[in-house]
Amino acid sequence: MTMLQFNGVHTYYGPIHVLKGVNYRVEEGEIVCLLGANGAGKTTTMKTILGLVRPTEGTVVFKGQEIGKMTPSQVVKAGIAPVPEGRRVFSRMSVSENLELGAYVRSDHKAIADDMSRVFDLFPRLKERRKQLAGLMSGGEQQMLAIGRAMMARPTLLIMDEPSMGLSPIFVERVFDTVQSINKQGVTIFMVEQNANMALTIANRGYVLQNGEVVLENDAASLLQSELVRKTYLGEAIEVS
Amino acid sequence: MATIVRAPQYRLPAWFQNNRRLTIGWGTTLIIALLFPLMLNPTGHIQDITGDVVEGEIYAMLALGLNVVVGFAGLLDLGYAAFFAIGAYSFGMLSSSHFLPSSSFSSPFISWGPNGIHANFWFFLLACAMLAALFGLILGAPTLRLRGDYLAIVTLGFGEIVHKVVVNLGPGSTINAFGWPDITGGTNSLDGIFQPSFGPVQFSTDQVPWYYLGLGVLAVIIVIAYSLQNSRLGRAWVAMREDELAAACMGINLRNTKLLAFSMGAFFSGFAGVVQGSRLTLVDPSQFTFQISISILVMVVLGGIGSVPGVVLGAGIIALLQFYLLHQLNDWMHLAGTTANIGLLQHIDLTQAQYLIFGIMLVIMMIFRREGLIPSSQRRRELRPADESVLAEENQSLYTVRSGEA
Amino acid sequence: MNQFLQSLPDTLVQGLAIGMMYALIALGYTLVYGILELINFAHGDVFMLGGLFSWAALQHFFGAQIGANYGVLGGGTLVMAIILAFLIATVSCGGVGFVIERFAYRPLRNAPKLAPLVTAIGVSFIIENAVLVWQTGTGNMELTYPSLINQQIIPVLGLHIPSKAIIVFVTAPILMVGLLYLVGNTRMGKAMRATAQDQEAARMMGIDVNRVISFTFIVGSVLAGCAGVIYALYYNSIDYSVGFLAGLKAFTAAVLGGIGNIRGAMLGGLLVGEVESIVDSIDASQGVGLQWAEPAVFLVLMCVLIFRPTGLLGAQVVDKA
Repeated sequence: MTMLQFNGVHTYYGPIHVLKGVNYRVEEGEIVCLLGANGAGKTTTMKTILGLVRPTEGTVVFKGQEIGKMTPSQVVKAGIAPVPEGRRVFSRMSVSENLELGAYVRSDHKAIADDMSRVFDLFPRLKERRKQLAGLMSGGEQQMLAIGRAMMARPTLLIMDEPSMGLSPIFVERVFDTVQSINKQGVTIFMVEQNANMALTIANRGYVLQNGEVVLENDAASLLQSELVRKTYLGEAIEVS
Repeated sequence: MATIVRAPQYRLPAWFQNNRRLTIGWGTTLIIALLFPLMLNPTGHIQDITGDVVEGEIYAMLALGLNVVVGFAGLLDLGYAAFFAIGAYSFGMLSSSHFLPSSSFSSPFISWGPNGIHANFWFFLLACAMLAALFGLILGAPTLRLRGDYLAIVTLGFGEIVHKVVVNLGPGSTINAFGWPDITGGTNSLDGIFQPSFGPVQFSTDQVPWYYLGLGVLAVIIVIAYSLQNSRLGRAWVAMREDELAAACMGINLRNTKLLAFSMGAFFSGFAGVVQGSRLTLVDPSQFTFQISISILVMVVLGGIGSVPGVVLGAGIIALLQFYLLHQLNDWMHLAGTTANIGLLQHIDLTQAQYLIFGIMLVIMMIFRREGLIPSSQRRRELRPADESVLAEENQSLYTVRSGEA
Repeated sequence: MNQFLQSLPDTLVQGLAIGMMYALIALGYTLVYGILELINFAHGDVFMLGGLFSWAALQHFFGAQIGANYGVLGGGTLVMAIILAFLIATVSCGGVGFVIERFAYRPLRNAPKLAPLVTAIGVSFIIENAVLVWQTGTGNMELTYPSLINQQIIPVLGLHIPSKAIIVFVTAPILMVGLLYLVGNTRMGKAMRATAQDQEAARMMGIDVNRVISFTFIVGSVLAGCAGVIYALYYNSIDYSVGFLAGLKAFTAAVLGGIGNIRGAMLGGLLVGEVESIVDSIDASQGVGLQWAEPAVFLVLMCVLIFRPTGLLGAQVVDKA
């Protein structure tokens, strides 16, 4: 079934028209990535899904339900969890507390505790540091925490905003491996990325966003080949013969 | 061939041409102001009303001063009455029978003898204002790195400290055990302040000469205020208000710009202090409390932050409220209370409620009309940011306190 | 000087009691500043209202008994009266705090920082002067607050502890510990801390930020209200003007300890209380009527803000990314 759908969504930031009638489709079990330069509207897309920003036109549909007018609390309860740009972990709180906050909207305590162990299994590094303040960890560890925190909401759809930003190459690989294994466990992933190469390697499909409009949509392999993507995001000017 | 000679057309200087509305507005106000006491003659209340109007002039001077700090430079000063106090007390100490020196000295500027110290009013009008300006620098110097709310608290602290120091440096009703001399008169007031003369006119209890003196001082202050606003300094203030970092990058010396704001603001209130002190022949700590500082803020907020005509209007409205409206309302309430036999209405004293009304005004103005009654167009744009990104920029210019960092 | 030194231990005990009151008020400032970066000028007046409303309640329900025995009550009545006083203060002040945030500050959430600051001053003026008008209108210029317990000096280890201080030493720590537990161990407490650190990220977790902010105001106001009851019991009076001064000193305490830092507010409160007590003692030993305690505290405030704005334990405000 279609997990997430954007139908002709327009979003404004004050007087600035950010999203100009975008359409996305994310099917269940997919990894879909959203490529685009800074200012194209990628983060606004994320915020719109989460309910932090309201679309002025168009609908956002999640599992058949219109979520455009929902509060973030309702959106998270419905099964969407964010891994925000720049991690945004709560630096003065411990790793455990951060994870607990990921499950804020849930009340099934036993299950929450189970999920926490599962997150620790997924990220043993976090288990070691569970009493440590999040702000003292490295970027890579914080990213793992951010992902773990999102998993604590037991989402069916995970939204990731630039997960590889600012990370060393080793961690970038780690992150993408993690994303793949989470996806194999049944979580649908909608990912915003600037690192088009890695993103398209693990994604099923992708969209390219420019100035608030979707200019390209295709499966990942085709996008890797497309001239636009190669020129703009992969840094190669290739004459495709 | 006859050359046609045309009579030279009289043209106003360019500035007046360009600011027609302003010229007409102030021109009319000036004419009415000059004729005002004469218009009062038939009412028979000329002294009471003129006296109240002079208070209003003092308010306007103070409001214009605070306007420089809060309005032009965007620095919230909650202890502004301190500068008023410095102007008043410095003059009071130098020109009264408070100190009775045993020796004698005479000079055109200042003389003293056994009946007190006589400072020349006109000279010290300027000198005490400059002293206040100096204190403006003193307050400004340590506050330079502080941002909005912290700055406000520090100025509040300064105001309270000045007030308490003034109270404590007098005898009050205390046994001044440190053996300090009675410098300021403390809570007993510093009285016996001498009043000036101007040619044949000896200033005393007749309010009319004070009215014209106040008008003159006010006019000078207004002109200086406008000059500041339209000067390079004025533009530096605007830049600093909008984005300190960007302003610094453009070569604006933030430190001096801020210091000048404080000292120019204080300068104006110094004038007010001298005039008020001499007019009332006494100064008392109760004239310089936090409530007074906030009252001046209300005038500025009500009239229009950053707007010269605005704050003058604001001062006028507050004066009207204090001296006329509240008393009228009081009378009506008492009347209503007596007729309807409601105790609270009979005994209510709305003149006590003026600060309550000021508080309400502040809240309402901030929520509904931040830019004030006569807004300065510059400020209106700032106070109602068009979009979030502009707002984020503005708030970013406040220096942030981070954990563990200075 | 001798007199000062001799009475120093008692002065310090007094300072501890006053300090705890300031600490309770300071907590409200620090909680609100940590979450909104706003100095709630009206907070000190909420403290005053705690004393005022509880006074009214005591008059209403226990007026006769209070009048009968110079304000001292015994046994069961005493317990009920104390519970009533704190209950009324809690409910009324919590409500006032909620209303102020909802109607005076929330509309200005997105306005330039000047606006909520000025509004806060306005609200403070409104509360203080509304009470003043009420006081003058009803002729209650001096409100005597009953002491409720027997006033005596309890000698302990060479110290002379007034019985009224016992109330402070019992109730204040309970409230402070309660707050620490709330903020450190409960779901709402975690939400409060998260919101204070990163509002948007907190929202992304599904936290209702508006609710958290309201709750924070209510908690702070409850603490202040209880402090008002404690103050009124200690000094046997309450007046429209006490909020301003106490508020400034408590704010000093909050900044001294590190704004946004809860333990800092507690520490700061105790320190400010001691400073005030010591300076008062010096004043007293030098002669009647000197008031250097206030300028001393303000000087402390200004020095902290100018030289060490992060305070003693480190400020905890929004982490700007």
